[in-house]
Amino acid sequence: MTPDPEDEMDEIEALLPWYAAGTLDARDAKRVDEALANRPELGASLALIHEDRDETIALNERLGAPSGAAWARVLATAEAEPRKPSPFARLASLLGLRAEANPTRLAWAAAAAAVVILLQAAAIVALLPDTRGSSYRTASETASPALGANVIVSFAPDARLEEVGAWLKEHDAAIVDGPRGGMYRLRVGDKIPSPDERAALLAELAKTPIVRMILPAD
Amino acid sequence: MAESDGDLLERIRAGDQRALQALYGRHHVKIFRFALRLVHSEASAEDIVSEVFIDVWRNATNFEGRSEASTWLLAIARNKAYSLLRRKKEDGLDEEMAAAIEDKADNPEVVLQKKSKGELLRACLSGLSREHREVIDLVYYHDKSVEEVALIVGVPEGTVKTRMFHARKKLSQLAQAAGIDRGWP
Repeated sequence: MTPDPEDEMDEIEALLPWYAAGTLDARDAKRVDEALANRPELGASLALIHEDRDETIALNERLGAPSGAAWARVLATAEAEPRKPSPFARLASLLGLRAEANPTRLAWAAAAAAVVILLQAAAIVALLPDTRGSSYRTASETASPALGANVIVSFAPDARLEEVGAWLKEHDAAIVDGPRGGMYRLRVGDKIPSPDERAALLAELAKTPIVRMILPAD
Repeated sequence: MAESDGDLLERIRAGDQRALQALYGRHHVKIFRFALRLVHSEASAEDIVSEVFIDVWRNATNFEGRSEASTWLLAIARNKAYSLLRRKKEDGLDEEMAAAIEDKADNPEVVLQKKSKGELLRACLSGLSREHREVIDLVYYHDKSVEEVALIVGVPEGTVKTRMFHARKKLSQLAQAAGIDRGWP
């Protein structure tokens, strides 16, 4: 159906404020451009709109700004109510994504990450017989007091099984518990380290890219 | 390159106060002015600014990224301004009347004596109804699209266009009453 010429003119007139502000989409801006070329009266309207816009900006710019007390109230609340990031925000941060940008992408990325972590966990648990003997035991089950430095570690999602195995062997380390929340408890070496030795050991263990995070657990 | 508002909101979601301060620094003045034009009280407008950013801190996860952060902030500010106006109305204070009293020195008849077209037009802009002031400010000062104004005000896009058209008409009538014949509508 052909649009009524009067309606079309009214619609174009109604779009002029956004045309003047440059906030029309390309399609509507083109319609206004074409109408302006054919209807001189629209040009007069547009001139008035520019005048109104300039004065609206001038009026608002004279209104000043809030005092520092406004920010002080915000800050006091932020300090009194520290935010705990939501699980989604933490996950988004972990995956290097913006949580609000695309929930579908985040969901797929989360699912993919979960699969990687599960596969990695299954693979690393498979190392247990090699590192601790033929049956799985936790450290608390050992008959004699366990010696060595206890650390908690999470591995990079792309760490390969053989890399983890080689890294454990290199550092005389054994998995004694995990995974729990993607973290493993390891015992490293065969003596209780001094604080300085423990710090040096943690620094050494953290050097490899297959370790995402390492913490003392003693 | 400066971080986008979306990046700052991402950091706010993770509890970063410096990101909140950066977002505040970018938007607090315009939020204040938008609120002030609605509530006509600097103290109330300042309270609204604080409340908007406290809401951002508490509810940053509610920002869905479907619009600009400034649109979201203006929508929060508007809700707070209208809640305040409703409470004041319940308390018996008619804000439009109060505004008219406050603006008396700048009404078109008084300003007419100043013979400055700019001053006259600004007085006419202040003389518009709250509904008309709001849409004019959002389009001309805050550079909001039809869609964004609809989101902020909570009305269909068609209503935004109609409201803007009537606001312009009313402005021309006020200008004519103040001695400026604009030849439109």
